[in-house]
Amino acid sequence: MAIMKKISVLFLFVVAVMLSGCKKATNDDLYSLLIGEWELVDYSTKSVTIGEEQVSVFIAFIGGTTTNEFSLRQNIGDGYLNTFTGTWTLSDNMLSGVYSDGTAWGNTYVVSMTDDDTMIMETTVGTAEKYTYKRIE
Amino acid sequence: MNKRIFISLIAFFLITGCTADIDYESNDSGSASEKIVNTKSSTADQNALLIKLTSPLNDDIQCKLESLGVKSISPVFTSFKGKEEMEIKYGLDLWYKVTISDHDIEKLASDLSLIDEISTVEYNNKAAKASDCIVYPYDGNPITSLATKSTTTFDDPYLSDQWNLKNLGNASIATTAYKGGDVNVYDVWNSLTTGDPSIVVAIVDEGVKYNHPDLQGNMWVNSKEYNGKKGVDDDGNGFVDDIYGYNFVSNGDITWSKTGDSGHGTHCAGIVSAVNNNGVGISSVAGGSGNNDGVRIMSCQVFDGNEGGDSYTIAKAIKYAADMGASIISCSFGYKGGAYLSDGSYKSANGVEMDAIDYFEATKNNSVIDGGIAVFASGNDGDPYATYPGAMSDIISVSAFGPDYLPTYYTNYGPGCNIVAPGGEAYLAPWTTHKALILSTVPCELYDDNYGYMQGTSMACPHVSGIVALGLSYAKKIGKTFTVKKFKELVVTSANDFDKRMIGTKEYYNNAHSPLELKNYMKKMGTGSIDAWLLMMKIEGVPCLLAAAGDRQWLDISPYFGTSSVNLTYTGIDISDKDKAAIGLSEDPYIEYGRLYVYPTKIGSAKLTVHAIGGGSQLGGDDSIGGMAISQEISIVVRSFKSTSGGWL
Repeated sequence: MAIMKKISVLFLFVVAVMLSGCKKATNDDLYSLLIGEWELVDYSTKSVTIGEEQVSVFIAFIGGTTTNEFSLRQNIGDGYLNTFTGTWTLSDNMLSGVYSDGTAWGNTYVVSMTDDDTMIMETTVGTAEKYTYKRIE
Repeated sequence: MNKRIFISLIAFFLITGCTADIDYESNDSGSASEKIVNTKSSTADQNALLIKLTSPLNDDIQCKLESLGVKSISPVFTSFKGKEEMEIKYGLDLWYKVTISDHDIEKLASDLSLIDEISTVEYNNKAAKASDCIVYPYDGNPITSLATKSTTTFDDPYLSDQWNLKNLGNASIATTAYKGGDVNVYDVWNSLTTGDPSIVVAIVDEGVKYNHPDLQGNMWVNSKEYNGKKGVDDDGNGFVDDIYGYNFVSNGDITWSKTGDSGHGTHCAGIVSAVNNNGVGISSVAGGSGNNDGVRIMSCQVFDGNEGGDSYTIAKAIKYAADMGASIISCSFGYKGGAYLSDGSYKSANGVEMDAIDYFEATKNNSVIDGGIAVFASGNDGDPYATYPGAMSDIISVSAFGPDYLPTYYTNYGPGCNIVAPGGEAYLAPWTTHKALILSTVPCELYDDNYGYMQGTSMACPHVSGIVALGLSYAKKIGKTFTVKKFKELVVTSANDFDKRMIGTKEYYNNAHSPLELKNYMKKMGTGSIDAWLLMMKIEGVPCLLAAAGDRQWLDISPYFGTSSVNLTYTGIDISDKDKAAIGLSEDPYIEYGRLYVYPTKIGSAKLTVHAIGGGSQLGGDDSIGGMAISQEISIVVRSFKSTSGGWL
């Protein structure tokens, strides 16, 4: 009985998700939605969040006619906001980039939007990590 | 209180005919010979000794002293209203100066050592200025071919001759001049801070010419005395007319142009805080931006003509600096090289100075740190160790480099030297000008000029004092606070690699000095060369190190220990089991070639503390001379990946 109840709840949840207005962005839509400045608000893995450290990350994605640029400001720990810049590319829903010193981002991300102001970036290499960003501009 | 005590004690001896018995058999406060803690130097005061009592002065002790022929007894330190508790805590209330006339000083020392209530008997020995005290007046011909104006807004006309602030590698200064061999302060001025008038640096030295046109605006001013009556102790601090500081040698007005004076104090003051951007003369490390915003200079005069420099005078001056608001003492002097070769030997032989320094370091005079910072010159004897007091392991001792960014021929190096800064150097080719030395303010009464060149670790010391003052100014601006210990660690780790050029020999123009074998200086110039910008960045905060889970990796720790981190001696790493577990460390971390080895297996974060020696390969201690113990807490954030650029993505 209990199992049936759980299955019912799960079924209803799946249906609800399917019927909800969850945005299924096309690449063009995703590109447009990505433009703007985002603040990291949550990050997690399956096992642990990153302990006691204060991590502040702001990413501004800037669209361009030939190249797309980004400005990344980060404060990891007790430091100041350190700025990195470079270019980014969106292919389907795969986001990758290169820093201005020529080095590639440390990972490639699958990007999705839960709403217009909430972006999820999930790593594709190594242990899965999921980062949630909120639009601030 | 003190003047009254002093007068009344003298009167007491004159009036009373008290007698006292000194028990030559029983002596409970230590062996008599051990109580005499130093030997009399040839320049020691012949008429006075310094004694420390085991308890406050009383009639019984007075009688005993009188029976030994003591002419007068007076407290070394002037008590400061509101600081009585601290004075007692650091034992300053127990120090007295006893004077005699027509008496054998060594016999008196011996006799005093037999008195139970006396714990210490010190000869009042003298320290010496850490410079040859030769001044070359400014030649009035600033370098104009290499404009520096474009990178700073300061309009001081001689700034282009100050390689110590911006070294452009100009061959007319020295054919071996090294671009970037400076204190890296321009960017600090341009974007962070130029000083703060609430930060006071006491120049413990010859008197500072407080009415110098390039110093006057940045002098500390005791407003009660300034607005008071001449000849009256308007603020009741025990010192009359101490407007810009005090002359502790003559107990009177600050002086700078007697026979025997060199302008040493005025020169050091100008390096710290000559007024910037005033269209006059030189720029300085922390002299503000021309808007009355430089750090302030307090003149604590301990050398006066051919007098002064003794422990008694120095100790009094240091306490005054603490009581009257200084956060930094800049001390370009020291005892003869080799006079002391361990912290213990200095501390026991110069208790009066040590107590004063401890008191200063414990006195909070600004909102940033919980005490004061003492900076000393390492000495000019070319010895492979620093002179004391600077050589004390917890005091910043500064060695010197020239415009070639190499050790100078005169600088001390090795144990006890914590960091290196520009000191200037003569005899570097082409030696057609004196611009390879350090240009700063001098008294025109001595040289018919307001500016002149000097060299020495005396000049290196105020560079660090000025940078410490800039750091405190910036920390205040951004609302950061530190302990004294932590701030000193930040200072000595804000250093650039100074060992990479220790190859070959360094030669002098016309063989005016024998060549230096540079390998002899390798790993012996402290943590490296002071960098003002690095200090400011450390004050802002040091970012965590990023690591990737599952990788054996070596993390660059130069953000914590400076770019000379590869040259430091590391003494250990502390990490708790909890932190180990947080990032899944199955192997202990260690340092190799200045990099931190870690093998994290879990995503998370951890803190660990790396211990190192700030200068040299061994720590200073009671039985040794050596470097400062420095510790840096390092935070590591482990993710599943890391980018080589250090970016989050």
